[in-house]
This record gives sequence, C-alpha cells and structure tokens, in this order.
Amino acid sequence: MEVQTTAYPIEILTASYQIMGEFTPRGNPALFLNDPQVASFRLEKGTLVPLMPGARIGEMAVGSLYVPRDEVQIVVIGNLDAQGAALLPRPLKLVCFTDTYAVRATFHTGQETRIEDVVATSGLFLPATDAEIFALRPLMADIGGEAPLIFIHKKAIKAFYEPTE
Amino acid sequence: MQGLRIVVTNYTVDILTAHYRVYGILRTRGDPTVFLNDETVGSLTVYDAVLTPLRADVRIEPMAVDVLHIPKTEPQVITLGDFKPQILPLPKSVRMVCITDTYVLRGNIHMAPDTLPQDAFYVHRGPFFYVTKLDIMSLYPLGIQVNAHSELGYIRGSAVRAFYEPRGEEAQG
Repeated sequence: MEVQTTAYPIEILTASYQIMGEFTPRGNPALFLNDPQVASFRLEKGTLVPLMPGARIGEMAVGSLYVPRDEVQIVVIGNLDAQGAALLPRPLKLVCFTDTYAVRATFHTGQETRIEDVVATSGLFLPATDAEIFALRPLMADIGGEAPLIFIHKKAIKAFYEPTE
Repeated sequence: MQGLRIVVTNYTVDILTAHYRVYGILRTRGDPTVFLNDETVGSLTVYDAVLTPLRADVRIEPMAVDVLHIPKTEPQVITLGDFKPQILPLPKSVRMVCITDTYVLRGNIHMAPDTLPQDAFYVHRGPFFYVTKLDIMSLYPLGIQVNAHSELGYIRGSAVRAFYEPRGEEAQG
C-alpha cells in the first residue's frame, strides 16, 4: 500500500519568524495539522525570516526545516481550498488576537457550538476563511494581508470577539 | 413552588494576561471562585470590554469591544471589583510572592489547613487560586503602567514560574 502525498507551498507565522517552504503532509493537510502524533512540521526548501526588530541575522535558506507545532500561530497552505479543509457547517465571523497578530476571518464551527467555546473545540488548528492578518507590532518583514484560507493554532489565541459590522 | 433560579452577578473585572489587559464586566453564575474554576467554562466572557495591548511597541490603541472572550488559559491574574465572597475562602493563608513571566504578585494565598505553602498551587485543582491583599507589579516596562493593589483576586496557578515567602519589610510592601 502506498501513502499518497502531495507537496503544498506553505507559509507559517510564529511570534518571531515567517517561514516559507514546501510541505508534504500525509493525506489531507487539514487533518495532518491536527494529527496528535505530529510534533513538528517538516518543510523542504525552507526560508526562515526573523521578524523581531534588531535581529542580527537576515533571511536564511534552509534545505529541510523543522518547525515545532506549538510554535506555529498561523498557517497558510497554498493550493488548498476551503473544500479541502473539511470545514464545519456554521460560519462565524471573529476577530482574534495572538501575541503578535490580529486576525479577522470567518471561522467554521458546529451548529451547536457557542462562540465562547470556539477555542474549546477539538483539533489544535482552527480553519478560517476570508482572513485578514495584521501584525500588532513593527516587524522586520511586511507581514499582513488577506488569505482565502488559514489555520490558526487555538492555543495562540489570547482573546477574540464577534465584530458587529 | 418556586423554580430553581440561576443567579448571575455582574462584577467589574481586570484581567491581566502576558500580552493584554482587559477591563469590563464579568457575569458569573454563582460564586466567582466556583465559576472561574468550573471545568465546563472554557473561556471568560467580558462585557463592555476594553482590551489594551501591553507591549510598548504595539501598533493598536486600546479597543472597546461589546463582548470579548478570553480563553481561560490566558489570564495570569484576575481582580474583581465589589466582590464579597459568599463562600468563605480556604482558612489558611500564607503571604507569598509569585513570579509569572510578566508580573510579580504579592498576596495572601489561601489554602487548606494541612497544605504546605510549597504545595499551594498543586494540591488543589484550580486553575484559579484565591488571593487577598494582592499587589501587582509588572516585571518589565510595558506599554501601560501596571501597578495595582486589590483586596481580592485570583492567580492562575499554572502561570506561576516561581514563588517564595517574603520576610520582614518585603512581606508588608
């Protein structure tokens, strides 16, 4: 039996780094992100950009780069659409804050999930569509913009609310 | 016959996390100590909230939000205004200085009579531990000054990185 793998371009934002590369998950990437047996993500053709002002190293190109899963705050997977992310049925617009980023996006929850329980749902990475990302502090790289689909590490979320507009 | 009535009480609340300060109104079902430590409560909902980033270099101003949710794993210290406990705190209290990654917290930590001070945050489940006569100081320069005193508050035990019993003047402040 052969394990089906597909390579996806990926961008990962941590509190201190922007990381880009090629990501080859086993099976559906949305499920792979939440696989409890995966402790770190391996990226090929990785590029590591320090974000903290005053960093004494610049952009680094690395062959294979490993990123511990709990460091990741936001993941953008190229060539993956919302259909491939197996979204839950109820869309919910939220603004959420990590220690470094503010994100406005549509999250997807179960019909019965209360807003306050969004971060208590199973799975570490919450898929969100139509996302806008904003860096809360000056960073060494121009981080921010829009993405049709992102995944947010729920433990990175410090506070969140439902925008009224 | 009167039906069961859920008592919801409003408290002004000041929540300090490693990165944000949140003021607002917390509505608790029953006594706040029980509510905060209720395992079925995954996040704290703050009404008429003001969220202030604490880092000095943050590019956003304090934000007013009608309803803000804070995962219960985030607060390091919580103080409630106008709080008169209906449930008596645990009887033994020990003056301690607790250090988190962002704050120095000095206060009387309440525990069971047979609990040793070194076990205070581990014998009881928490996650929030009742503190009286609480002084709060920030460890680092922050975007806003955090230097407060509260007669009652809660420390999240897992946020405490180290703690000790102060002696002499340090215990008094």
